[in-house]
Amino acid sequence: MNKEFFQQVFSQNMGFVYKYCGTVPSGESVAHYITDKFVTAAGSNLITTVVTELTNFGVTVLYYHSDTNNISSPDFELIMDLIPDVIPEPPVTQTETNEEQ
Amino acid sequence: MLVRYRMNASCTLANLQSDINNIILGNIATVNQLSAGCDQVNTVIYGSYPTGTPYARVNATTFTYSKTHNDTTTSKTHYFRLNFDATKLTTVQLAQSYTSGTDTLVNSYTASALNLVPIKYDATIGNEINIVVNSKLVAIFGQGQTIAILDIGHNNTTRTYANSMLMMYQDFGTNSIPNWSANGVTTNSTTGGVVPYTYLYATSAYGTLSASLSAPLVTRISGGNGITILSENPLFYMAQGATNLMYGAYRLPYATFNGVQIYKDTLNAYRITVNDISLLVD
Repeated sequence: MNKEFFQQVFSQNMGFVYKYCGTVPSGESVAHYITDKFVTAAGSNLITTVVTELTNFGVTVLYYHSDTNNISSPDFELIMDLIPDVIPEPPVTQTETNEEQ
Repeated sequence: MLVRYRMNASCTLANLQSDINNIILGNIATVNQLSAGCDQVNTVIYGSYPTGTPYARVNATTFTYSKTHNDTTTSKTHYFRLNFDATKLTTVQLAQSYTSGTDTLVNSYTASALNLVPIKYDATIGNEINIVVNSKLVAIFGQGQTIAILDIGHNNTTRTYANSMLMMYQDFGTNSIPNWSANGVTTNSTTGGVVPYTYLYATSAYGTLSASLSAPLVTRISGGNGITILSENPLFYMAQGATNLMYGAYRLPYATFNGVQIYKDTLNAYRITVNDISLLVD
């Protein structure tokens, strides 16, 4: 579950991915319940989120479309942002030429 | 129906909000039912509102709407929201589901900024807002934006993974102009389209899908002396594996029209077109 994987899951190059650490009561819709929990944590209902269960990894994650990670809740553990990593520039190597020939 | 909405100098954001809301909900049949901020002399309505009330406003404060799929056998309802700030219509959100108690969109996507503002209509600029509302799609063309929310058809993925949405967001312009070319590519690498929540085989999970447009090659053919037949081929949203039909959207022959235009088909049904894409009005 690296950044490329989550960028593919959510088709995004911005925002944050959180692991849901709480439980969902039986009979509740997972997406609705977790989204409502996140709305409480974010303090706003005017947000953009996607909830998905990654069954291959046994976790449920939530994507939050935001520029800033302002979530502080024991139910949501930040996994990573989806901002593409900066590709490091190759080191500049200095080559000396022997001009005294 | 299509409302070629034009505003006067006194149009306020509240006027614009009210008129867009009433157009979506089918409360507008004639231009004189639009607000005082509307330039009623120059505003034009084409076609009629769809039967069966596919749209409903689900919250009194936010401009959040439900839309039922035009194919009743799918029994799908999804949601979209128009977001305003103090001066303009900023963004559109599309969501798989909705929680009414908290007015929360569930599994949603926010489109890039629209920034539609109340502005006096100027015939030399043509700065109207074209609003299309029918059973298959809702589209907003104007002020440099050409976006639509469309029903999409089932495929084997969406039937198997039934929580997949059957509605998508598509930008037909801005940074995603379909360049089909005269020689007729059939798949366009341009994206601009998003299904906020559908099953993705690549990751074995539900997620958000961004993919390309696809359509069979379409050409002009002769219908006799002085008659040119413009074919309209269906448009597909090409995803991982199977494709989805985009209801009410068609591909036209290369460069048939310039800019945003309105035309009638042979049965006198209106279309609106941009960038070789044609949308049903009714």
